[in-house]
Amino acid sequence: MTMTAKHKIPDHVASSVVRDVDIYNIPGGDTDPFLAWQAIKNSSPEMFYTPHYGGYWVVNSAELYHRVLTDTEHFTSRKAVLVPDMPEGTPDFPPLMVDAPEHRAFRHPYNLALSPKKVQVFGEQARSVIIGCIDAIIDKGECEFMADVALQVPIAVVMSLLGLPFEDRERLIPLVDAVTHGDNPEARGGAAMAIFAYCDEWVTKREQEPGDDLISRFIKIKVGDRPATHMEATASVTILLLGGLDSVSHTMAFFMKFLAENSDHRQQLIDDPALIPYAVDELLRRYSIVSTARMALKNIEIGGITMRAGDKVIVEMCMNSMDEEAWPDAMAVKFDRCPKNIPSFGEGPHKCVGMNLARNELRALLEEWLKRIPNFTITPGKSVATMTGQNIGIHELPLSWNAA
Amino acid sequence: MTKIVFEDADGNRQAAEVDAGTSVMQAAMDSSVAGILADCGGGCSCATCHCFVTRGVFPDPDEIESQMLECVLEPEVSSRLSCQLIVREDMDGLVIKLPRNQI
Repeated sequence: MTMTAKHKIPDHVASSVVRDVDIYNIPGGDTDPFLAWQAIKNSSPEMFYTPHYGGYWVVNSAELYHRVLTDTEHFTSRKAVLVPDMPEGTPDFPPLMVDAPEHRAFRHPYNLALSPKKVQVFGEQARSVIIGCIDAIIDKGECEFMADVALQVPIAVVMSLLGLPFEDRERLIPLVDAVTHGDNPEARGGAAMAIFAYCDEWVTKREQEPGDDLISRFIKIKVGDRPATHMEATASVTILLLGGLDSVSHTMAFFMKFLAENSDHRQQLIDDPALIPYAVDELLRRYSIVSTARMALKNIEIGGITMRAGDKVIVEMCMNSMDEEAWPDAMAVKFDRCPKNIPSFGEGPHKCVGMNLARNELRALLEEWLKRIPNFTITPGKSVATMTGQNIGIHELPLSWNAA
Repeated sequence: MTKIVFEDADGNRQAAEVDAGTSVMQAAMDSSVAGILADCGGGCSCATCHCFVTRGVFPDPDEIESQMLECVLEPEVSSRLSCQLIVREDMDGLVIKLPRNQI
């Protein structure tokens, strides 16, 4: 799609800062989304405007990433986190799309459930699922990593966190995938509604029969003096299903694609598994796949432009992770970089609450996989199809190795 | 300026000069103290700025901090989240002990 007359540019946006960037359709995004975004990065101003989906600004530096995500006086998460906008009348999903002070009440149960102590338990659970996945494929000498491993692991952890029946995962996996990576807004919206309906059913069930699971704790949230509504509890469950699954699965796939194609890096981790936690953070930095968005609450001068109240801005985490000023030689993976404040999880009050769970899951994957399948490649003759969008992702990742 | 001393699990000490009104977590960040992660940036949300400090030096933890303190790896009676501790001028020389691991 290219810009047409129907893409109107608002008066306050100078034509010099307008770029034709449709996040769902970026040239080269189907083979290497990061190179595709880098090409845009290198040919665009620090803050640029694209008229697609009603028009929004795009952050193009680590510095602006930091400003937009931490300046809660000028930027709100309400009505803002997704591109394109959710349909008119869709309520804001707490805690993701709620600002202070309510935000804290909604986030607190997540904080407790995903604390350093609890995360170790879930990390071990992820490890046992990973071991099971490897058991099932190791003798075949090949797998399609997304379906066979990546999509299986985080859902097992999140289902257990929420106290949901494990067997429901088969019907949830394709829905979660479609919400972020569906072909068109209708497919994505339909899948989101189906997940919402599923969560709604479980919130109702827990309202009638409370347990000590996380859903029951969402129901008991107090926002100031009032209890959380049914809709708010349901939204909290939905957000956890969406946030805890897709991003982890696709990050796993990018890690494995990198290691399949870079035997020197792989060998470093095989020779010294103690490097794996550092490798996880550096690979998270290099393959930052998530985006978020905000809406300006008032006019603000930022990155050489003026944003008007009501303007939307999208923050692609990779526009920070590929910023050469923040990360010299940014496209290179260096396990000894020991990056601090990696951009993958965002910043500010909405920083990913599951970041240490994600780290544990990724670490367990590398440890278990490299122990048993140290040498592997992208299956010869097959290619890896990637995608851009709300999140960057991988459709299929065919891997091969010599079966014993 | 007030001097705050961070002591890691092996007894190694590192001093930081901070302005009154700064949080202990921020002081640790500004002085690159390795034992404080502060993943959430000071929101009492992540329990990765865990430290040990004698009870009574700072005002007691509020309910949210108390609940988060139950979630740190090895809580003790003196456990606090350093993002909630605001340095005062009369605290010169205060020792903040750090756990071996945050996560």
